[in-house]
Amino acid sequence: MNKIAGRRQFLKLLAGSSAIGALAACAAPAAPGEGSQAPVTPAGGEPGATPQAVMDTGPRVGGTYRIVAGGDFVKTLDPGSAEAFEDWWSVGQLLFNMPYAFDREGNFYPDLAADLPKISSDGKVYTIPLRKGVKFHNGREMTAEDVKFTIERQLWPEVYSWGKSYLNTIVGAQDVLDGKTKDLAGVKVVDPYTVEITLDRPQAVFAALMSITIFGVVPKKEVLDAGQDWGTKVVIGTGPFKFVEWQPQQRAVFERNPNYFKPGKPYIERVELNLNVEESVRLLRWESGEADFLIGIPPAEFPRILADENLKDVLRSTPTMTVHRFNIHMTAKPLDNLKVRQAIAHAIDKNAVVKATGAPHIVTDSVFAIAMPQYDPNFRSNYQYDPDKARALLKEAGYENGVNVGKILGGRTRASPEIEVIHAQLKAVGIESEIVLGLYNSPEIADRLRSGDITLHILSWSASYPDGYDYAAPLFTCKAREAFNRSNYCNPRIDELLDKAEGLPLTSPERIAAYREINDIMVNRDVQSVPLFNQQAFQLSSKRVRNDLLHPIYGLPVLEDAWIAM
Amino acid sequence: MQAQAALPGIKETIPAQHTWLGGVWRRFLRQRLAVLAGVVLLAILLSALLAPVIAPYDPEKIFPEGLGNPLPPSDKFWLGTDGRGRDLLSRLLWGGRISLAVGITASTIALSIAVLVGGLAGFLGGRIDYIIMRLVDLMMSVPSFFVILLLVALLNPSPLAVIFVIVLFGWPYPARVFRSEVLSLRRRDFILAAQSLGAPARMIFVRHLLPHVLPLLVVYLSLSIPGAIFTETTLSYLGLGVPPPTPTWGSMVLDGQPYYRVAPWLVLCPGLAIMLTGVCFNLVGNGLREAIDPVRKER
Repeated sequence: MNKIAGRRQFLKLLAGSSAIGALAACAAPAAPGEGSQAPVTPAGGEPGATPQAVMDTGPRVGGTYRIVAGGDFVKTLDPGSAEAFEDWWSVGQLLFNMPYAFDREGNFYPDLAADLPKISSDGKVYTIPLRKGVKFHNGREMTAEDVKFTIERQLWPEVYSWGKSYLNTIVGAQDVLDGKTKDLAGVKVVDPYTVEITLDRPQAVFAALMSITIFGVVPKKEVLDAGQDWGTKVVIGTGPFKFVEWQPQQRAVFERNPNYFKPGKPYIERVELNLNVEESVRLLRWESGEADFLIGIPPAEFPRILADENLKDVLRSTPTMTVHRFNIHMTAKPLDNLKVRQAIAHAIDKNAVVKATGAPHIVTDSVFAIAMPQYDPNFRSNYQYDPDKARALLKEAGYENGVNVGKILGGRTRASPEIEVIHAQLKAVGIESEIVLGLYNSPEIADRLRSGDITLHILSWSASYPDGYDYAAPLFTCKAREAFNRSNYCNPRIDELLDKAEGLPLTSPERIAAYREINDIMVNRDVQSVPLFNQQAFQLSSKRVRNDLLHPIYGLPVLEDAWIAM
Repeated sequence: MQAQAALPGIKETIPAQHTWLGGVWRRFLRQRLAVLAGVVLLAILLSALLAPVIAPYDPEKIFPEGLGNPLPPSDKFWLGTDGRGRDLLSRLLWGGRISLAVGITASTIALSIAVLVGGLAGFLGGRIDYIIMRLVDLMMSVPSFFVILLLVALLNPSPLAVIFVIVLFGWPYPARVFRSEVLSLRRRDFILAAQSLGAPARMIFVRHLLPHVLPLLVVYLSLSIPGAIFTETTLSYLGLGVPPPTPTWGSMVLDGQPYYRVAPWLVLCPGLAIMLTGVCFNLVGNGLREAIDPVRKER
């Protein structure tokens, strides 16, 4: 509740808006079994159509996996501060492991932990058994001390971390944040393989929080020894790949960790991440075979690439946990009038909006992502596309001859296709608006949004774990008006429902029901938000690579399962 | 420069008052390339002016069939549609209106200021000249493009803001040119004559000096309009021009750029329009210069 959104989402927004194409989605190819080591039949392709060599090889060790990416945000590979996109994925999928994780299907499983946490009956104490014999890249064994250090270090005032707000329910967090102590009282080392975390109130979502990359376990002694070099020159984790080198804004290189705690994995010998490559150049380099994996297909090329039968085998896609919503300021005139908001909702043709992006994202009526347990597949907005109803509502509201609803935030340097389409759709029913350009994240634009100078905007928000809490806390509550609720939206009922749900088990029907009521309030009762689509990620791999399937949280591949077939 | 007085014995066929303009016109017509450019330019200007009448569609209308996937040229859409399903031809015509209007207005204002300021500096001389010229030096030593970017961002992008910044940085250089022109004119006999007849300075400036820099002004105008259009285009390209969805040539290039492989005409059409306009203005400008001032060809 008192969690203010982390900076991570802040930057993910940035990545999301510029790379919406990058992370777009479509009907996911039938995914092969999770973690299976059997050869994978490429989705949609008849076995006969693919080169024989492909079919014969099971997982094999070797080869270099070359990636071209945008990645101009990459600053460091410290789990607490890697927050943009490629860096965040490198931390979460290549270099480090968290105590827990979600697999591609959204199943929660212990990763560095040996088992699910034991939760005390009052819901406040989490006892986490750790896996034995897990080695850091330098050969030292990971222990409970390292886990404790990982968590408390995030809160040290001198350490930058985007995840500080995720940790503030841990007992003693405030003292560490304030610099009074370096020791986080709420995290106890019971024995070398057991950690006990005490929260100041029951928070069911805490187990899921331990899957976020900020929990990527770092080696205590080595981090302290490295000092300023940690994260840039020295990066030591437990992950499937070891850090080799990193040239800022240019490239990062990783190599296979032969002592990975999952026997046999990974298979790829070397991963090269080429950063900061311009969008169209990226595609050219992928086409010329200089790269095995392209992060960020130019949106303009989507229709062509999706229609290309030859690319079916190499196209990787997954629905992500990013929902794009059209948000309406609640107190600016004339939008404080519910009928005007209803008219806006009726005026928007979501299918056309998705079409304008060029990629088949999934049209949605829900403020929650499809991968979240709170998502209700049967939910329908009361305000489906219907220009006549929109006009009728405007008439009822007394705006028979049209109404000007102010400014729409259009995009950074040019209006996004979605915004231009919505602008035209609103105009078609008599709702005039003006597109202004600017960056959602800039303080100036943030103020203009809050004050209602800019009344309408699309918010694309990526959750860090598959649960609606990561949307609700920073976006929907009254308190979140200090964070990313920039439409001056405050419905006390939502706060009440979230408070009620906070202590309930993640998948308890009561909790889910509370969240679904929130969805209904936002979409149907208050019409604060018009959910547009659930983004899908689309990336291009190559024929020589197997099983580099995308993870919905990252929109990027799970490389510990992938291998190079030729 | 002056109209040739008819020699005794030769029949005057041209009325004296037409001689100068007529001469300019005749000399201009002799330059075929400039004339051709003039015709093309006229066509461009007319089509932009008549966009509301001749454009096949509303330039902001979205045709769902073109959404996300630009349609190639066809009967329905002569130049195809852009990535947002809007008719490219209509946008090109309407976009020309803004680009040309901004370019022509900004250049005209900038040059008027330049003539006045430069002319006064040259004419009055002394301390005023010194102050004005140092100001000009100052303006010219500023890396204008970055200041333009900053200013437009501060002013909030709009056609007026774009005109303002073009004018702000457009006047100093021509002001210097006009100053030197006036300096040389000032020592001419006819000015001395006017002065010795007791004509007031204001009258000399308005009646005798300004008319003489007019030809230079026309030439400069036609040469600086493309520059102003380019600035507008560049600003639009950087997202600092006229706000969307209003089309301008620059923003059309920007919108079309991501499609450079799947639908190259999205960039080519506005790009060619910009280029053609620029080339035509330059050719016409050069033609005018030669026509007005056949002696000083190489200036």
